Amino acid sequence: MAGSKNINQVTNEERELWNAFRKGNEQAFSDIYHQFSGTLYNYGYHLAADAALVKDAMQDLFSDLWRTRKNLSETTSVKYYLFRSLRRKLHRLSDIKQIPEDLYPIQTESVETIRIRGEEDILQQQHLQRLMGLLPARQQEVIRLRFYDNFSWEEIAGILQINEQSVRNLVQRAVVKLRELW
Amino acid sequence: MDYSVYDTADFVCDDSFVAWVQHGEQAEFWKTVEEQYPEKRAAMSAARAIITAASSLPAFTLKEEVDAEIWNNIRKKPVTRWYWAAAAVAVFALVTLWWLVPQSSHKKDFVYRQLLLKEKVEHPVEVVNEGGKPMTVSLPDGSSVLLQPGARLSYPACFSHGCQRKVFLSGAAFFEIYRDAKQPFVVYANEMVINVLGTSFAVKAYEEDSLVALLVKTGRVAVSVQSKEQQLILTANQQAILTRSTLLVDVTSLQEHTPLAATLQTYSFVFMDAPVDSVMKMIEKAYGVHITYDSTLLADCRLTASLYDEPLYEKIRLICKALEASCIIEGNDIKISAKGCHQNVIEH
Repeated sequence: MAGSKNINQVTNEERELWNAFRKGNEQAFSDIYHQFSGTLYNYGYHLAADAALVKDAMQDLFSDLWRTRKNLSETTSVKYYLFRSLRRKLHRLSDIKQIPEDLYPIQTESVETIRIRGEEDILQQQHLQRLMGLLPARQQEVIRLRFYDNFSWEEIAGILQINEQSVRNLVQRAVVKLRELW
Repeated sequence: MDYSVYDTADFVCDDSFVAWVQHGEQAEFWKTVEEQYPEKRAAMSAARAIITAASSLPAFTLKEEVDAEIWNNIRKKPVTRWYWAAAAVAVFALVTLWWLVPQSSHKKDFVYRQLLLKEKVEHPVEVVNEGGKPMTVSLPDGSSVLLQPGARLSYPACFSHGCQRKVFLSGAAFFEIYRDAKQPFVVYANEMVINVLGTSFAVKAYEEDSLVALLVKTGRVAVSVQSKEQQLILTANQQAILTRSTLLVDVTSLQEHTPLAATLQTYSFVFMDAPVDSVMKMIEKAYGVHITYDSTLLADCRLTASLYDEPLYEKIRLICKALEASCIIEGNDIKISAKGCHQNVIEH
């Protein structure tokens, strides 16, 4: 098996942005927020399925971030740091709830991408995505973090506060389940 | 690498395989693997399908206006948590108990005195219930407020005569608001701000408590928290509990037949062909008022009426109308002068 590579490897640009923010640069802070708000919201909503709660958690997270900016260290990945913090906030604000089964998110893929691929592939993909929605919440979360949000195994372990092997085991179980349901 | 031992999950977990599926990296290498391990084609194709599907999972989009709102809130100081939990749950015994028992100390800026200063109420009229029983206060606009012992209520002297209908409460009270669509009625209760048109509701806002509670009996009520823009609409039989330290508000729906819901029913009356004497006794008991009338003259009178969220004085007025009597209301004393009666029905 190939070693775990950090897919969200921090770029020089990102490192500069983070450092400017730590020094109190408001523009940098705004840039960081606007760069990640959409993906954070999506992640949060999948965890809590409560728009108001996710909103609160994000507000809390960024307010804390600004307040404590002087105490923050350099980071390997801003995105990783934010995901991890958001998850913790959400846990603190409420017990994480399961997403109701009838609540299936809006398809946001652009019409163009859909047209490029064959119809059969699309149907299979949608079928698979529906099946993924039937997996236990934790398995869904790991799959999403790994393939949708492109975190490394190590980072996912950090976000979920479990060890890397457990993360892999969750994916293994998810794949077995998907093959059963296929 | 020996891929002969690989199954679908192993491919899914292989970062290099994922990079190939997602970004076409090392395409040459993986083409060779496919040729070398033909028996693995099915597993590879399944893994590819899973990775592709997972990489384009449907997302919840953050609407632009919500995004802007969150950002604005982040930049606003001080930042407070704001969590409206619109949960429809039964009220727990704990909450019910809390309504009955006042709580430990809590110090805040948004209390009765400070609110009066902050809202610049000149020459406020203040009513304090220093007795041991509930006391009814009639407001100039026809609304009535049942003050619990120890509660105090202030309102501007110009109330409903050219200035806003607003009152300030410290303690517990039950409100029945005279409907006036042109003039909203506002109750300031610690950090809670309650906006109503015409309805009935109970408020508990002790300055030393850690919570503020609002219980809606009829109609609709808009609740907000001091210095916050968000507003929450409560309807009949819903309760809002504000935690003062965090400014979080919890909303619950009351189940019928709970002791708390029963308390509110004290102020609803359905009389079916009832002797006037018993009607008067029930109203006296519920509102802590004293009603005088000629009981011999009204001895044979019977009343059929449904009275729900009208203010006390509106209830009295309707009863007097049905009895073809004239009523004089002076504070907690109500005098009814009737000539006798026919069968009386109040249709409401």
